[in-house]
Amino acid sequence: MNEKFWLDARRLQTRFGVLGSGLINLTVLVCFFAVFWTLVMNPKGYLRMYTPMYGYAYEQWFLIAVLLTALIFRFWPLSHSFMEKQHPLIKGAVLYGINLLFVLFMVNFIFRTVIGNMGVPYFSEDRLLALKINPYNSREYASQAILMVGAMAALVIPIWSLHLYNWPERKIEGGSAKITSFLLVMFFVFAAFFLVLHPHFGIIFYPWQIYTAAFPWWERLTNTLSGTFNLGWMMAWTSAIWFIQVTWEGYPIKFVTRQPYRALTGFFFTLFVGLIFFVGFHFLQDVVWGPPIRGGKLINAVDWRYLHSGETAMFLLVVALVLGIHFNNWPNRYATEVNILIRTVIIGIGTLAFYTFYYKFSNQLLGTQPGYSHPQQYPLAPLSIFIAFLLTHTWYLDKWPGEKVVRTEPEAGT
Amino acid sequence: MDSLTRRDFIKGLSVGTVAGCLATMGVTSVLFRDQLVSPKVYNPVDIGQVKGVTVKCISETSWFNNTIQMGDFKKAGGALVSQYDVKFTSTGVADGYKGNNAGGASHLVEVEFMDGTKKKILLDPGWNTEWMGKRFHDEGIDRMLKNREIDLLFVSHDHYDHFWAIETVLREQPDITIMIPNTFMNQSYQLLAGGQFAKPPISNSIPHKGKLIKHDVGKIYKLYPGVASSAFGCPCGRGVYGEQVLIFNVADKGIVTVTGCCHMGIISLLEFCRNRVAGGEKIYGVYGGLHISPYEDWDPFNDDLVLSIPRYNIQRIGCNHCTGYITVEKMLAAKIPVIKGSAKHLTKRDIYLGNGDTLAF
Repeated sequence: MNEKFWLDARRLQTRFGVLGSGLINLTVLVCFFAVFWTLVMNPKGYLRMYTPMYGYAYEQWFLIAVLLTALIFRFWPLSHSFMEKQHPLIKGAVLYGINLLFVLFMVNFIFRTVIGNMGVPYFSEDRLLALKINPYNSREYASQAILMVGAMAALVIPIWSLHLYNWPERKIEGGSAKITSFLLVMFFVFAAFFLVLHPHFGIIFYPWQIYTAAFPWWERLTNTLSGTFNLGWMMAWTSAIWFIQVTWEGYPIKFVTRQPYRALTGFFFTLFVGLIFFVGFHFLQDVVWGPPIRGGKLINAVDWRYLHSGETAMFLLVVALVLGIHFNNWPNRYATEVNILIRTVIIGIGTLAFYTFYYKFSNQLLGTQPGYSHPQQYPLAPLSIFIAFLLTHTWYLDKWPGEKVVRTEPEAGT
Repeated sequence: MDSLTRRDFIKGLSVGTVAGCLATMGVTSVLFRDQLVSPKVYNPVDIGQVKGVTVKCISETSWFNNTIQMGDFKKAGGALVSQYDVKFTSTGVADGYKGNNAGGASHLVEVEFMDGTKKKILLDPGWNTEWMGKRFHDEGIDRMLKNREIDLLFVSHDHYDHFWAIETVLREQPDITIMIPNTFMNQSYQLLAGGQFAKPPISNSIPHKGKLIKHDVGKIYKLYPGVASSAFGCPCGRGVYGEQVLIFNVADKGIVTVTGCCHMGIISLLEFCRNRVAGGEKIYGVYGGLHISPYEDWDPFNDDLVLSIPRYNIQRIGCNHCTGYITVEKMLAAKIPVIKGSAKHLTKRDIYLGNGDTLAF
């Protein structure tokens, strides 16, 4: 703890007022996303990596790289002065480069090569191919597994950073602390994956792999064998963590600062709000589409309804992050409770509007299939990379061009 | 008692409102779900009755080598790329038809009405014109078309393997009445009017000159006494959206469904019949592709589906095509009454009804 964290030290100022700068930044971000999607993901575009799982897995791990960079590694090993003095675009290019290398290292080496070849075959496209799974599904199954580990990481990282204060960073010096934190995070990520999603992969193959994976233990509770139930509530939990942190400014968890009480409060309160999201969005689907039917497909499918509850929570998160990052969490002029109330209402309405817009136009804009549900299509593929770009815009690019750094606090001890 | 300031009042009100809303949403949705989400009430449509239905499988082998087929999709960019933008392997396939991996899905449906008269419906023209031409010739479909013995061509949906051999039908009877779901891709209309697409490659040199009937999604159309169709707004993949099915009410037996691919899901279709068709509480038989493991792939939600089928008490299941061998093995393990076939005419296994096999309901 000898260095003030860059994101806490910097002070940003809008160039064109909150609304003007927010709109400019949002426009820049949407354009960047559109170029990326067209070149890399769009099924009608160039690289066509939205197969869907192949490109989505890389996207998810890019998001994880961004979260790790800012929340766990806190830009280490880049120095405070580098972050302070370099132009946002240079910082962005360097950090994007580091993140892309990390993504390739994790996806292509750790998962596909090491774990897939030496531990769990379903992480390796080549291994599945050798086991006579067809070429398309070999890649999709492997990518899906890699992606799902990423989904666990997206949940564990913010809990570790926001509520466990990056333990044991306060007890260890420098880079060792970051690496220790990273390794602990990854331990819990894999533990979570093997408890809630490995059984899903155990029955994805025929015959069921009953000796290597537990039978889906959630079946009685959820009326489905699919592990997407677990993805759904964990995505809603992830959304709740950020919603509370950004929109509610960390209240009421921030009243508790001492450990281990903070960790326990943060863990259970965010889980509680996440479950409200999950159950609430599931209920809304029941109201609109009627109850799901076991064995039904598309919007009638039990498993898809759970997944879609989590997806809807992510629509909410995008709106909350845009309001928080690009529009300075408007409004701020009233009492905190009133501000929070107004923001919550804005985000509720914004989520409905964004959701409606997405399902009306994504078919034309993103080159995806029409309809709400499709067994091989996931709104989280565009949403997760948009969230990653949104976070890098503030963490790496200091919200350039709409805002600029006007003051930084010196590093502690200098 | 201290006086309440406006600021404190607003604070308390706002916190209470947010907490109250969230708590109410949560409690309401958990405890009162059944009261708030009551089942929809429908007025079932009486479609009449038929004496019997017989379905002959002309071709259920949409492609002959699954690994090559999936490799083609992988090269094209995956499951969401438009079917007209996929380069399919058409030469050098050892287990294909004359080296071509493309086959097709097509079935002949013969209906016997209560007065003993009969009508024939051709369900889908298939994909590879050469293969479908052979199968049409083998089963006498070409002659039936020429003699106008087939009343109409019912196109379930415009997926490549169900629709692209339209020329095979039109060269025998260019003015045949065609029924399609009102969700066709623009390119599919072009193909029907006589178009060609270089990439797959696919072409039709004979424009359709007959009546084209489009069925809207969500409605029930009575085609003949005892015979109805309905189109579903379901994403089918590869740019295709929407599929229509045939529904029969067989006297003394119950409802029989005949599907091309059943992209809406067999359980959803059975629920539709239960709710929307008079007599739908008794499902007698199911025939056609059920789209569960078309590429011998799997997902746990398919286990949900297979495990749910027995609760509908179906007497005869004549599934094939995109149902998938894995699915049928699981169905048989679950003691679901799947009708066996004879594994002729390039159908690889006898585990389900194959090319040339017939099933009567």
